[in-house]
Amino acid sequence: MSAIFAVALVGPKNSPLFFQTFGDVVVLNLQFVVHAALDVLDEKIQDENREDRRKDDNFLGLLQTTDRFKVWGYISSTFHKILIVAAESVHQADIKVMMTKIHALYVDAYSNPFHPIGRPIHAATMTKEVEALATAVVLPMRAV
Amino acid sequence: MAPTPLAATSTIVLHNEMLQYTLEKYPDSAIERVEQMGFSIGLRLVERLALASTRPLLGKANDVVMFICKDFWTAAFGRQATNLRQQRGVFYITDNAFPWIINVSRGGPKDAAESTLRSLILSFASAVIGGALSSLGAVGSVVPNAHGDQVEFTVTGQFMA
Repeated sequence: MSAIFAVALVGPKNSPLFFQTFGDVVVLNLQFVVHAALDVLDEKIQDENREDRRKDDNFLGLLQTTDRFKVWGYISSTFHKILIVAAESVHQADIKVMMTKIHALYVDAYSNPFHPIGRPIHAATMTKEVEALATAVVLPMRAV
Repeated sequence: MAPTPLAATSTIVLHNEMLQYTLEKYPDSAIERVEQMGFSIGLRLVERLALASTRPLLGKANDVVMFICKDFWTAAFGRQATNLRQQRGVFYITDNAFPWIINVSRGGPKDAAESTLRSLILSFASAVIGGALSSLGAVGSVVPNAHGDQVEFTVTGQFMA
């Protein structure tokens, strides 16, 4: 079973552009989790603006922990945000690499001149590649 | 990912051809059409450039304008902008030999047709820059001003920070 439950990509005005879940999960539940985490993400960026603290990374780290999930965030200079809902034991480094790869996939899809700007992405390639990325992340082996 | 290398000359030839075509096909609405094209090109181009930067700019005026003058200018026009100055919140970006215009009529327009094409090129370029700025979180206008081969873009805008 994949250790990644959902990948979400939202636009500059928080419009949903891409949402994909993996494995046997309740989609609505995950949408709710992502929605809540998005508020945390916005707060995080705005706080930094206020205090003028320089954040040197697109990767925003852990946004929220619930009883079953951890939600991670990423923002680009163009205010596109990526959120990943993962199992608790997934390593930060794995998530960080995945975020960059998802951003690259999104840019490829966005570069298609037939893709209307600001609308959800319906690119078969992106869906397939994100799925491959997500299923490649597996839970670390537990000591028995 | 590094920008794809591409012969600068062929880009400019294609670009001029595209503008000529628009002008001939839609003489009345050429500027609007060209501006629309430029704007979405700016948006898409910056999205790809943003991939290469590991630090989010978060809409800070100085960071955004520096990004436009360096990274964006290099990707779009093949080199950095010549000069940047700021006066009372307005940014003036100058390019001493603007590559898109230099091939049309070196030194300045000679007749009405040339000056129409030149103003179309400048509208297109301004729209590309405007699209880039807007995707980095700035709302405003870019106004071109050409003296011979030198072009000055006046950026008036509201930045997020």
